[in-house]
Amino acid sequence: MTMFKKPRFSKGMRFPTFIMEDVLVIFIFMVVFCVLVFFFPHLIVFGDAEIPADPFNTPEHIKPEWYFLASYQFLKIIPSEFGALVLMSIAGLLFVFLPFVDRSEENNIIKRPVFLTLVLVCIAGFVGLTVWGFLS
Amino acid sequence: MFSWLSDLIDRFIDWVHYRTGIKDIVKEQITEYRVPPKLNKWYSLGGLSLFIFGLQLVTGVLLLAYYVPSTESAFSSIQRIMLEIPYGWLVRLSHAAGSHMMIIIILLHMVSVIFMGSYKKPREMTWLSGCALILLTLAICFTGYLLPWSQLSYWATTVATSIPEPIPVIGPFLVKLVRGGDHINPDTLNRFFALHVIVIPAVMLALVGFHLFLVRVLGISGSPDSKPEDQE
Repeated sequence: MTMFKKPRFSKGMRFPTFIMEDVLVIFIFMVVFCVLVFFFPHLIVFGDAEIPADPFNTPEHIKPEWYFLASYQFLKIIPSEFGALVLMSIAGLLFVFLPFVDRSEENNIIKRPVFLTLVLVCIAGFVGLTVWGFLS
Repeated sequence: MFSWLSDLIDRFIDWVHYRTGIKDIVKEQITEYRVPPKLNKWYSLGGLSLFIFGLQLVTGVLLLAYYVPSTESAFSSIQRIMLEIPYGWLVRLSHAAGSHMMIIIILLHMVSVIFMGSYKKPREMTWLSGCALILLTLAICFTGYLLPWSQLSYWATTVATSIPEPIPVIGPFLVKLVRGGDHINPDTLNRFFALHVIVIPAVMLALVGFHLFLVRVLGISGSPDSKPEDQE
């Protein structure tokens, strides 16, 4: 079996241009990043992060970082902790093996309403659980 | 006047070319390389996450120069970095902010890959290495979180490391393995430090290399709005 032949784009973007596209996005990112670091340092390091660790003094509200909040909240709302772990592992495995689960040839997600709905439900679930975790 | 200099440079390039084939690589990968036209900004997120990874490596190495990985001195060494070392605050805040940005950008990168169907044949291995990179990014954020030895890092890590506990048979063992004891202790800090500064970054570097190699070998996938007629 021969190797996949990579498509050639004769009228495509040339060398400095496609690098500059990335550089532009990096500059936009750096603006946001610098505003955050220079003007809002207390959004990055605040509260209990400014107190040395004390193993004999448990803080009242322990919450993980925002990127772990969704899974943390999921563990809290499912009554059986082990069940929640199993569900999360299955979801994680489905996600990792997505190219082998979703074998449809169609690339355009607009033409695949069922898959599009599934993806949107997953994103809404993640965002929803994160917000719920923040508020609770 | 400087023709001797350009002669010298040419001879040097020829010398390297004879031993590595560098001219063909530059021709194939840079000067004659073409990227599909009309790519949207989402395609730059991979490059952006590589940039943030570089930023984290640089700020991380600078922090290593002053950070002390011990339960007695970790917090005070961070205070020293923030208050005494010139521009230490900038490096430390950049490293902390960079970790959040990294997660946001790779999540967006992943969402764009799903929406454009770029994970499909023949790019399954690119997707798998990307998934491994996401997991390692979460792991590096998690291990780095304990290092300041603040009240927040201590208790957040206590809660997070107790999560595997309900798994039958191996659960308690896993918790003990991660913590290096029954509770978070100085050994936990040491193993998290080793994972955070060398093990995970080294594996990530190798995986980033593999990921980029595949992107170059397979070419960039077309987006839904770049039609096949753009191709030859």
